[in-house]
Amino acid sequence: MSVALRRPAPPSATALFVMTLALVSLGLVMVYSTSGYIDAGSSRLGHDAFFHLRRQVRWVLLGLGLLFVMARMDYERLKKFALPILGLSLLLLFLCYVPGIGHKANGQWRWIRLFGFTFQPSEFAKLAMVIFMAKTLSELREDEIRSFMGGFLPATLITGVFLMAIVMEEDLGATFVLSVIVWLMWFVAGMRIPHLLSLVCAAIPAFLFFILSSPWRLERILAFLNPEKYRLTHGMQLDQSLIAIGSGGIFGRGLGEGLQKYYFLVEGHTDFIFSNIAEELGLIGCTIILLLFMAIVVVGLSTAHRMPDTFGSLLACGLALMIGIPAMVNLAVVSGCMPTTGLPLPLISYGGSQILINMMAIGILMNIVYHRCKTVDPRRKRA
Amino acid sequence: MSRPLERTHHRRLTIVVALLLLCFLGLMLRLVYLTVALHPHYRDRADLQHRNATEVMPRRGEIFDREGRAMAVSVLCESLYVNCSAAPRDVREEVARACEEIFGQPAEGYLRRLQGDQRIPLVRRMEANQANRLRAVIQGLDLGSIDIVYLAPETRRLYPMETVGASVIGFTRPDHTGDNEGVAGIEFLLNDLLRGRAASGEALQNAALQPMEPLGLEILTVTAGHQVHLTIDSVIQRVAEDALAETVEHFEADWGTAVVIDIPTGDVLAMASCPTFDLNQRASEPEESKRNCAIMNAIEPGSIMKVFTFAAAMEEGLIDEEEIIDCMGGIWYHPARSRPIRDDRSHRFHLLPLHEAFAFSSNIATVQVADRLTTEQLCETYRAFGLGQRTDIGLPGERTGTLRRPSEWWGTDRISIPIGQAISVTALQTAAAMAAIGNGGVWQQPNLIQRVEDAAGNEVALDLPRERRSVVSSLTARRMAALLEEAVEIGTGTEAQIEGYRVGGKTGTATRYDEDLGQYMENSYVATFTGLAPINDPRIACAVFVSNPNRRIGHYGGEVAAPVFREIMEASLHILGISADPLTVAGEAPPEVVIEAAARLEAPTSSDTPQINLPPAESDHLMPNLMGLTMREVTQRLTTRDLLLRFQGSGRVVSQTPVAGTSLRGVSRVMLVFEESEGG
Repeated sequence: MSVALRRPAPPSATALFVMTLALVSLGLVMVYSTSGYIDAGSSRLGHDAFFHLRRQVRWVLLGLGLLFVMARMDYERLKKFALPILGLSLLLLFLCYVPGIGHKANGQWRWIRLFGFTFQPSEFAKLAMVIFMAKTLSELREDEIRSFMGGFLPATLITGVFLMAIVMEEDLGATFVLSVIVWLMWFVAGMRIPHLLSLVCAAIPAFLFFILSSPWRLERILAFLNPEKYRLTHGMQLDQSLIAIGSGGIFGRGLGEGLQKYYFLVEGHTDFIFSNIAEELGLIGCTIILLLFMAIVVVGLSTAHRMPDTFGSLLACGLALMIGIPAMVNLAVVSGCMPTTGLPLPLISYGGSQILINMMAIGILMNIVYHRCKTVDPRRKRA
Repeated sequence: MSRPLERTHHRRLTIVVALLLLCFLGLMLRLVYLTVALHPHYRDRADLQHRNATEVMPRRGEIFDREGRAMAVSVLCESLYVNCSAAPRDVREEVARACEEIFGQPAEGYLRRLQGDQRIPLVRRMEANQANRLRAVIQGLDLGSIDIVYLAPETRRLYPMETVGASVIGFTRPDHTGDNEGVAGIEFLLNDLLRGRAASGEALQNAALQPMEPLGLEILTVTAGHQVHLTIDSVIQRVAEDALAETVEHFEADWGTAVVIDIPTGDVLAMASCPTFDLNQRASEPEESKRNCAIMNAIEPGSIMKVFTFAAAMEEGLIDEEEIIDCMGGIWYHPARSRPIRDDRSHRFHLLPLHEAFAFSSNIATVQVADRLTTEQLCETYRAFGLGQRTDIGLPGERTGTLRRPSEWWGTDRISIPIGQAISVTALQTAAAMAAIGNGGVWQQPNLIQRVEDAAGNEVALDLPRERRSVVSSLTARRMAALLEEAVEIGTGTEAQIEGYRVGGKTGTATRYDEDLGQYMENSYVATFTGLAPINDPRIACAVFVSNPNRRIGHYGGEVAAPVFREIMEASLHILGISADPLTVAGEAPPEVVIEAAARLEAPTSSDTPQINLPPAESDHLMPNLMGLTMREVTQRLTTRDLLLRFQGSGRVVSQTPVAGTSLRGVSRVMLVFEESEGG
């Protein structure tokens, strides 16, 4: 297997790497652009304008290392680790509630703090879930997947436990993203359409209950429908985001020339970094980012399409969705197409967990691409 | 090993790809809609919150004297601001250390002021070199934000003439734009005009409404306030202040004041107070020195009141200058008063022509003249002359003085008031009343503001009251002028004589009434003098008050105030280029004839020296060497010449135009530059 690695990397793997690097680099620039002013004015951060940039650079370097490790490690070996990884991920999710380790930010227990690093287990859960689902689904026969008891029920039960754990952290965005990724993997794996639709039908009342269970969620939904009306309360963030995007226009204000970052758009370097990019780089910058994400998704899914083995195919599919779905949801949120949920833009937003996990995902995807080239080429020659 | 791929799998993958691409396309369309279609809307909303229409105060306008010499200017300088909440401790310490090094104050004081969490001006309006040193320090701090420690431009008010006209010009106190809020004098009166209109500029701000950048220098320089041209002539003002200061010092007086008025226009040429203060050191000068004595001190004027008593009687046709009046040997036991009315020991007469009784300031004669008038007639005339009435010149703190209504005149008032007791007036009122006599009996509201120009130089209309009223006939005015001239020629005011000019004036010496104690002070006097010149065509009126001169040195108006008047008047006549009278001899000729004669002689020789009949000595036609002389010495040296003197600066002459030795034929203007000598 390792023979493949000594050959020159196939073009699509190189393309994946270059696109990832482009997104991550743009992310670094924009993290500085959006956080520099606030950091310099913050006595809590010691007026260090480079506070966030420095940390992000650290994460990116670590992420690059993980990316190369994953790219060189045979993805088949992940099968063996699938269950332990899943267990670890579940453990981490529950560690959020353990005093001393769990870390609260913005009123939500979403983080754990170990050895001075803050980590968001829900990001890790995504990767664990994708690997686990790819393994489980690839080991089931087709009729098992199509059966209720054999495929549907175990899959939904395990996923349900994860979703419950994340929902308890009030992380609606991550819950939504994870369920969409898993749901699409089931769909690709061949689960019956009525089963899948029944899940959607079940999700709707659950979603409604969830919204109505706390007044501020309802307010958020109302604010999403009319951000300008609620611009001083729950709609403020979205309204400021739309101002950023809209005022950027086609060409943007120019790199570093954005004004929304001067306290107008809070979380401008994390969940709403895309709005600041749109303000500074305009529609042109947005289009480039959108195309890059699209390209990553297309490369991933086309790899899945061509993989001879089901595990590799489902894994590639899941990994591509792991990048693509959060990106889409994030863009939909900041452009006002979806109610606001806290979700970082993969590879770009500030945040160690998402950088590490997503770069790992890219690394695994690259590894699958190597294998596809190795295994598919002879078949192509034959055809 | 995992199972092989199914066809369903491929089909469904294709569906997922299509679905995702569709979603991306939808997002793309949404972004296009936001950035293209909604761009104008969001651009406006962004501008609304990013741009703060800040009001930028313009640079304060200058104050000039009537010759365009700057008396108050605003210069741009910089102030150090610190946003204490954003500045970390080490930055604050560094700033305090730098300030200690640059400004010489202990660092602890600066640190204490930096304890709070506000944005404070730590050092305001520093010198340019200090600002540059501080700028280097700030750049070395590496703060990452311009909003924490920064230098912001502010204006600083400077008064190039220091003490000259200090109490008239007034001063400013700092507001958020620098020294820009007038609190006294003209600075207060015309504050709104000097400030100018606030220019609205746009500054970027963050969501905490803090400006993103300090206000630009350009904005401050472009929109300046209005410029005010005063009627004050700074040279006359300086001469008046110097003369007063010398007299107040010599006679150990409490205070002195002098007002000079241009008779034809009512312009105030000088309004001097002593003590005075240096406007540039206003914070450290004592408060008493900031009083404008010319309008804030109302005193009993004493004998100068007789001028107006006589004018009232003259106007009613009740007296004749040539009539003989009984001065009763200087003591008159008047039935209305327990104490006798006395004349001064040195001027006790029995029978005297009325004009001489006036010249020698006889109280007894004046009371007899006043007795021919009703209380209403007296009071009405005084009121018409503006005595005990506010002039409404506009300066803050003007006193009204006291002139009671006829119904409130009690007991001995009909004796006291006509000779200047039980009435109080300011120096400005007195000078304006004297100007009315010089102006053919027409009283004009005194005026301090010549014109106001906006920053572009267009004159701005001011709504200032300019009242004119006829008080007495022009004949009465001329007859009074003749009486006044005699008082200077032979009477109590001989100290006021000016060589080459015909001067009229009246002395006054009144017992000082202490307002704080509410009683007349034994052996404490106010010496006054008011007069005008030249008599044939009065141009300048002047009033001088000196309060509480030391009696052992002298206390009479004639010996204390008259010399001051002479100095001021002499300088004023020269500075304004008023020709010396062709006829300096008066007395015998009736005033009308004098005026006609003067007019006839004046016409062909207006630009020459008075001694036209004599072949002038050669030296008289050469410019003398004036280097190193003071302003007063210069005016004395050029006394006899009909030259218009232009002075610049203060101190001693360092430059003269024309140079010494050049012929003065055809030269009408002399330009002199003064500078303070090093040794002080």
